[in-house]
This record gives sequence, structure tokens and C-alpha cells, in this order.
Amino acid sequence: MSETNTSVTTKRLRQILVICVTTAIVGCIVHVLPLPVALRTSVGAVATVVVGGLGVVAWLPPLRWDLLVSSVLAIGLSLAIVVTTVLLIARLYTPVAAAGLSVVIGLVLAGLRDAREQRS
Amino acid sequence: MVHDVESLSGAVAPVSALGPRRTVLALLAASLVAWCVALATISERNVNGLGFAGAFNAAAWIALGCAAIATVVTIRGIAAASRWFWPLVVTCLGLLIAVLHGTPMIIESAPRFFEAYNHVGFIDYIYRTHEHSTKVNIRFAWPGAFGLGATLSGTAGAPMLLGAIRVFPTVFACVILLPIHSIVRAFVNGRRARAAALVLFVIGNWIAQDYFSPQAVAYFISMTLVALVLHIAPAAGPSIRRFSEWAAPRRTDCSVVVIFTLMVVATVVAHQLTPMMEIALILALVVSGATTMRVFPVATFVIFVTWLSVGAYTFWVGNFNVLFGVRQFGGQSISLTTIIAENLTNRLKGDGLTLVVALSRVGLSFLYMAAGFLVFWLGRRDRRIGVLSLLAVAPFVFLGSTGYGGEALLRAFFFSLPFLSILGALLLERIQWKNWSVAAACIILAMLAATTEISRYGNEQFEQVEAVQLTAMEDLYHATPPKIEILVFSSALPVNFVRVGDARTKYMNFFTYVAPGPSGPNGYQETIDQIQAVHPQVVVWSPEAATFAVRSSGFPKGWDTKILDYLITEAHGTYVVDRPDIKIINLDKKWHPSPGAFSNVRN
Repeated sequence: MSETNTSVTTKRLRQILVICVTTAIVGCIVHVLPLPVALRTSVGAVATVVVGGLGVVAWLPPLRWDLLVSSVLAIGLSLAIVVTTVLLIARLYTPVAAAGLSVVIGLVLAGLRDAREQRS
Repeated sequence: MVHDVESLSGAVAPVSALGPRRTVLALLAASLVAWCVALATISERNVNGLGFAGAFNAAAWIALGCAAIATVVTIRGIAAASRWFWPLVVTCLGLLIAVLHGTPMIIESAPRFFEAYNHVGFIDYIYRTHEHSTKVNIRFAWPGAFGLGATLSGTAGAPMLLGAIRVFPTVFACVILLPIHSIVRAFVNGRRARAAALVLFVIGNWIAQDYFSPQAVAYFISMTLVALVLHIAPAAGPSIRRFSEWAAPRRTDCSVVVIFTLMVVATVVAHQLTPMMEIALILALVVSGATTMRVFPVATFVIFVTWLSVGAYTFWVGNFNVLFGVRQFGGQSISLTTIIAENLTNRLKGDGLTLVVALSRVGLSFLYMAAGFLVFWLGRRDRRIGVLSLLAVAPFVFLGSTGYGGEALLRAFFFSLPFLSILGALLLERIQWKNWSVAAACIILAMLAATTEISRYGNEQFEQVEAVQLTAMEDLYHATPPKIEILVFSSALPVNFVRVGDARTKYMNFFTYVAPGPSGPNGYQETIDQIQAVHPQVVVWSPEAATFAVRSSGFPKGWDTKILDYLITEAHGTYVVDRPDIKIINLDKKWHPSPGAFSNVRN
């Protein structure tokens, strides 16, 4: 990979990490504020899918916008489905635990990918 | 001002004295205004045998026609390299979707698709109990999508998803275009052909597997997976016919394989049928040499079988025949011919408007398949067309490999539709466009859009739910004691959206009969016997439920009147709700609903 491409990838991964962290923080703040339940639920759902999806997508090569958006959605949903199913089978399921775990996995994956890119 | 524009095939044709951009903008404005007028003037009460198309008035048809013509003029008339091209294409697609899918969403007093109400109930059950018991419902053997619903909707309080049923089909119709566009982009470079493929996909989607359901979520994930395989792990190698070259080592990044596996696992635990389609599509890519991931279909199959053997054990135990496609009726195995009959010829029975709807569905599907076959034949030496044709055919293998029966063809066509749409767009690329052919394309697309509105699954009268029916059912669940046994005239009623696992619902259209079935000479008595065996505390009737039993399960016309007579006169039931659109009969002598229990529903 050329030096220019490497810097582009590094920049992209840093952007993904920043978006993940920002979305997670905003999601958490909105979720605990005394706002209507529908609004809190919607923001929580979007944050869960976006952070989980972006964290995993960080490990894929750069994608065009259409595939990037659908991948973030599809992979975010997939991650939430798998996490939920595992918790259900383990009899540890609560909605907050499943959503929280998806977000944490997304953040950790985005952070790990960024750290690996920085090292290389 | 006359604009000369390049056609799909590179020929030149003028569009309009106004100029293509102004023409498109004028048509879009006219469509939008007509749609707003239609929303203000049409009523769901006018839905007839033609489905929601029966409720469409002149303004609605004008809106649809203008949107269709604007789409053709955009694709044909706007320069493909212009910055206006994609914004106008997206606007046209948005208007087509709004008129086709958004109109019912806005007009209906309560959202349609009674099956979606069950799914809301399953999500509510997981939210309340934090478990997925297959003893409550066998569909909890695939808890992924229901669990996803509980996770996403239940973090801040109890899920309120009846609104989600309403908007889901329209949102899905928009969002699914993202992965479909990515798939199209993998095969087609030209912007016009890509736009045409998207339009054909929107117009061809009459199948309505996009309601609030696990299969809709799984379809989105599957199509994104196919798009990712095509873009991240592509190959231009030989097909499996040149095995030694095909089998030469090719590597795929480990993280990519892990992520794809995550998506497969999600679909496997979310829906019972989608993984088979996934396997078929990825296998088609592998054998045609279009991807480096040659072992991936095997991995997908292993994940599918593993979940079926462990997680979905309660589904297949004792049902090996269903699992391996050997369906039985009256002790006789059902052949592939019978499955096709269930899917196709039986659906063409009926009379009047019902037959028109059935014919429009079959006609629209055959039109797409015929266009696909024509392109395959014309371009059979083109590798790209070969891969697309294989992808279009692969889902139909599913027909003979499962015992899914009645809706197998619909689902196979749905998975085939993106590839048939691309083949259709490639056919348009071959046309030498003239002025008259542009005019013809406008008329044809407008007619196809109208046909889609007529053929759209879920448009039927029996799929409609009126607000008063939903309110009555909400009141019923609120008023009845725990462990209530409810019997409904058929599954075409909004039931089980709350209290799943507590209130038990039985359906008359799922009763079992000896040949020749409920229309036979003993049909009435068999129905009565089974009602007595169920021993329900409450019975619910609606005209839609009775009609659905006639349409789907062979009940004779007017069967519900005789059963209602029996319930009142012989079983000594009393009406707690007695309206032309819903009747609730109390057969439980110990349950006396409070005076205000059904005050939201006037008799």
C-alpha cells in the first residue's frame, strides 16, 4: 500500500472512531434525559446500529457510499441480532444489556482497528 | 428549447420542447400535487377485489402516471454525466415508492398485514419475559429478529410498535435500494442502465415480503452480503467447468470472512428460509467464478445446519418430511408438481376482480422472467450475463428443496428480482431509442406501475385492518382474565400483538378436515366438533377473517353465518361487540366484562 493510501486509510479509521464515540456518547446522554420515551428509544436504536455497524465496518476495505451505508445498517443489525440471541440463550438478556453490549463491541472494534493502523 | 440526449444504447433522441430537466421537474411537481389531492380524497372503504387499486381515484392514477413518465424522461433525457441525473432519479424513485407503498401507509386507519401484529406480540413477549420459549410459539426457534426488535425498541420503556408496522414497508422499499444499487454497480457501469435497473426493481416488487417481519430484515442483510461479496471478494476467474483453474488458490482477508460469517449467523437465527437463498446466491457466485470465497457456501451451510440441529430442534423433530421437502397431505407425498400447483395454478382460481389480480401477478412475474431469459439468450457468451442469469435462477432451486409450499414461488421470485431487474436494464441497453420508443416506454412504465399497484400482495380486502377492529381487540385483551382462550374465524385478524404466552389464540382456518375439506358434506359438522374441542371462552369474527378462510383454506361462501348462528343459538354465546366489521362473542359464563370495557367500540 502506498504512503498516500495509508494516510487515507488512517484518516478514514480515525473518522470512524470519532463518529462511533460521538454517537455512543450522544446516545447515552439522550437516553438518560427526561425526554419522551419514543425519542429516547429511537436515538438509542440508531446509536446501537450505527456504532455496532461502523465498528465492524472499520475492518472492511474502504467502500463506496451506497455500500457503506447499507453495510453499516446490515452489519449493525446483524451484530445486534447475534448479541441478542447469545444473551437470550445464556438467559442474561435485557434490552439495555444487548444494546449496550453491541455498542461496546462496536467501540472496541473501531478502537482496535484504529490502533492497529497507527502501529503499522 | 430542444435537447438532444444520448440513449441507453448511445443513439440520439429529442425529448421535449421544454427541455428534459424542466419537463421532469414539471412532471414531478404535477405528480406530487396529484398525490396530495389523492391523499385528501381517497378512502380505504373503496378497497375492492382489485385491492387498494380499487380505492385509487383519478388523482392517484395521475400521480402514478406522472411519476412513471418523469422517470422515463429522466433516464432517457437527462445527460448521464449531469449533476442533476442522480438527484432526479432518486426523486422519481421516491415518488414512485410514495404513491405505490406510501399511499396505504397514510390512508389506512390501522396498518394492514395481520401477520405483522403477531410479530409485534413476539417482540413484546421477549421484552416482558427476557426469554424465547418455543413452547409458546415455534417461531421462537428463530428468535434473532424478534430479539432485535425487543433490543432496539425496548431500551427506554415498553415497545410501542404498532406505528412501526405502518411505516415499515415504505421505509424498507427505500432502504433496500442501497444494497440493490451496489449489486447493480457490480455488473453495470452506465448510469442510465443502473437507474433503469433500480426502477425495474421498484416496479417489479409486488411480492410484499417487506412488511414488519424477520424475512424483511434478513432480506436486507442478505442483499448487502451479496453486494459485499461482489465488491470485496470479486474474482474474474473461470467457472467451475474449468475446474483445475477454478480451484487454484485465491485468498480472502480473514476479517472479511469473519464479518460475512457474522451476517450469515444473523440471518440463520433470524429467519428459517433466508439462509437457503443466501447459500443458493453465494453458490451461484462461486461456481461462476465471480468470487474468491469458494468455501463460504459450505461455511454458510454448516452454520445453517448447526442452528437447525440445535437451536431449532423443536421445529424439525418429528417433521423430517417437511425439512427435506417431502410434504404430505392425506398420507400422500406432495410432489414438486403439486408444490408448483399450490404456488401458481391454484392462485389463478377465482373469479372477477380476484382473477384479474392473480393474472396481473403471474403476468408481471413472467414478463420479468421472459425478459431475463431473452437477455440470457442474446448475451449467452457474455460472462456478466451468465453470472446474472445464474443468480436469477438460483433462488428457484429452493422450490424443490423445501416443503414450504404456498409462498415458496413468491419468495424465490423476490430473491431473483434484483438480478432479473439488471437483466431487464441490459435489455433496454440494446434498444435503439427513437422518439416513438420514448413515448412507448413512458406508456409501458406507467402501465407496469399501475399493474404493480393492482398486483401488490397485501392489497387484498382481507389484509385490511380497520381502526375499530384494532381498538376492539385492544379492549378485548385489556378486559379478559389471564389464560384466556380465544378462537378467531381465521388468521386474518389483528391478534397476538400483546399477551403472547398468556392469551392463547386458535384459528378456524387451521382446523384439520378429512377430504374433501371444509366445503365437503361434513364440513360444517367437523367445524362445530373442533370448536367444541377447543372450548374457547371468546370467539372473534370479522368479514375479512371469514373471506380469508374462503380464499386460503377452501371454506364455502357464507360458512361464517352458519357458525355465528350456532355460537349464539346453540352454544348460548352473547355478543360483547356486535358490529358489521367485528363481532366478539363471549362463551365464558364466568367472565362478565365491565360496562366500560368496550366503550371505545360502539355497537
